[in-house]
Amino acid sequence: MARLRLSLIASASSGDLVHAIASRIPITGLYVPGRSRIKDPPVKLSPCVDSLLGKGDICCFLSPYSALKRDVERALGSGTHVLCAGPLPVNRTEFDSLCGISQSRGLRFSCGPLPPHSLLFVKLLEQRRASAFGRPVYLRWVSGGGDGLLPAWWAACRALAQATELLGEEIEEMRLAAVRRGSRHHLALTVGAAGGATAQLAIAPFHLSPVPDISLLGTGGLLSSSSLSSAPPVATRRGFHLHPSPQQWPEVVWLEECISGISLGTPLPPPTWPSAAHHHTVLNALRRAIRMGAPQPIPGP
Amino acid sequence: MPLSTFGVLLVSFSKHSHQRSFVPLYQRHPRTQIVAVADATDIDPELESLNRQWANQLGVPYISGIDQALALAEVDIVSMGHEIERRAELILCAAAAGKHLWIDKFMGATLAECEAVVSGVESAGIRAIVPSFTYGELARQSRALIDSGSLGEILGVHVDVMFSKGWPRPIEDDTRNPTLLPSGRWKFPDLKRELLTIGSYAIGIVQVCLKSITHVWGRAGSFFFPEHANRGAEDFGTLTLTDERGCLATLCGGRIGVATHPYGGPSRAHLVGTEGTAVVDAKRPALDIFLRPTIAAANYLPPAEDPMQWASGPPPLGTPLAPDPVGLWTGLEDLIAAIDENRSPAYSVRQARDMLEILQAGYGSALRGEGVALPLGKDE
Repeated sequence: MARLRLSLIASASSGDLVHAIASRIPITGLYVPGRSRIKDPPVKLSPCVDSLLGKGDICCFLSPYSALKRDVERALGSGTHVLCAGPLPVNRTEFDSLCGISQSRGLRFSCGPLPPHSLLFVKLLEQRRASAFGRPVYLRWVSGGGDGLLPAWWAACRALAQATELLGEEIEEMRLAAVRRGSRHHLALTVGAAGGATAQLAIAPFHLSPVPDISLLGTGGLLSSSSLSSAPPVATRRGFHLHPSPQQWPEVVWLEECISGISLGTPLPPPTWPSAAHHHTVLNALRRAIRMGAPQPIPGP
Repeated sequence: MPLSTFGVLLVSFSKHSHQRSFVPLYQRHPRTQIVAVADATDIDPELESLNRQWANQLGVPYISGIDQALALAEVDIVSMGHEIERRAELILCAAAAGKHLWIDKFMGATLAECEAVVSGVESAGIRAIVPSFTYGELARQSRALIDSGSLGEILGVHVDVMFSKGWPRPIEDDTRNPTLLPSGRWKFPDLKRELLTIGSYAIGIVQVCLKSITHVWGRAGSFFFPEHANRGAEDFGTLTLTDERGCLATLCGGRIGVATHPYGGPSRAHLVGTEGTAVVDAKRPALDIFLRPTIAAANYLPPAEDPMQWASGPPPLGTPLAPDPVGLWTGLEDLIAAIDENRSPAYSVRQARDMLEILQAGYGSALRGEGVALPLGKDE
């Protein structure tokens, strides 16, 4: 079987992620929307998405941008499999249309928050299920969302998906507060579980590492991981940074699994409208919270 | 000319106060001297006995009756450690007598009492400090980071303060009070309201970082201790806040049980700005200490006479490097400088009043399940 050709579509701020993927998976194309560029790209940059598209190839959208919906549709229309690392801002008609194209052409189409693949999440869930942990009381999450509304939205959806699984209880109420200065968006999502536990999820424009800061408190004790300890710290002339291994990026593990599944003809979990609709509700609440300057309720999933 | 020394009157060693922690501070500072211990005349015999023990130990007189104590010419500063329910009344007496004030955490049980204190203190022209919240390392480092400009414009602050104290036990569903107690009923012989007691430290950091809070959403429904659950008095709570510019804060405060953290409980803030994010830990920088004999011999069981560990704590696995991590010394220096310079301390009764308003809104929100806008109306 011919090797699948993988192209990435990623924002300029996702340079570290692109390099992490390229260190594990051969990539054949890269498109960076907007005017900024990724430093030392692992392959030649393409001027547009169209030049990456080809029957049987895979396009992976790693960051959201204003033309994401259009480009996903074009990719599917050209016979390219589409993996989207976050939700799409679509209504029901648009969602059905995209699913219809992928089904009629026999293409894999995946979108929505990544399944929780990170090493940290797997270990957290393992410990959270141990009897010594007791019942969940509180989850603190701080992660980075990057520049702009849509990246902040993706980060919030990812945090929310993992928080829901870590709390392991029915979600009773959610409030989203957000503030914006120029392109910088900061949001705080407070999630209340029916059993009384609370999650406070903060998405910052900048974060120290691809790994969130997490503390999960149970009646039996505390599970905690600091992003500062998630990777070797490196000091150079240009300053200080963390050097995470490729496996620390959940996108890398997710992509490897998806590509392996596509190669073997295994179907990917298809996107569902209730999930897409819920993420769209979060996006609307985010817009409303910024406009109103006060926390906005979000109906449960 | 030598600088003047201030005589300190210790008002009450009530069980819930930190008066005992202030004693070494006054003893060590070159410009303070403990001159007497006093309390109201109608207190429990047990408390009076404790007060007298402290007076004996310190070699100073014990005075039963606040008015008599305030009449002493050698008293310059009153260190207020009475129960929260009577604190405002006693503070107002001290202010009216022209004494400066060192107030342990809360000035009164209600917003109306706190407002009376603000008015009484400001009209008396005395200096009053509420030292517990913003003089410690967490606030100092947060303020320094914001002032440095390296974070750009501040967008939000997220604070977790938890005490790894007490020994949680199973909670029976049929004994649990499903309704949260409203604000105002603060203290019990065997427990404290912990959003008030511990969450207030986190609110202090928010006050340092953000402007006036305009919206509060609170939650408190998960418990560690049956004492708390059975009364509907939270041992853990969270708040989500927004300020007048729309900036965000989230926080938690609670007593989470002993042996859950190497330093006695997380005390940490994430500061989020337009140009960067920072993490500040109240207990860092620190020297980690992993000594086999100490670790192997560590006893995490709370003492029988102090089951919630109000006056004791677990053995930490390290020590902070900061000379004054809690900030009480810095607070005392600020009070003395404020008296010398005839100015208000950095954290005084007005800020403490605002804190109680945030807390009161948080309790109201948790009770009703809806957000609360500030300022509170007169009836709230």
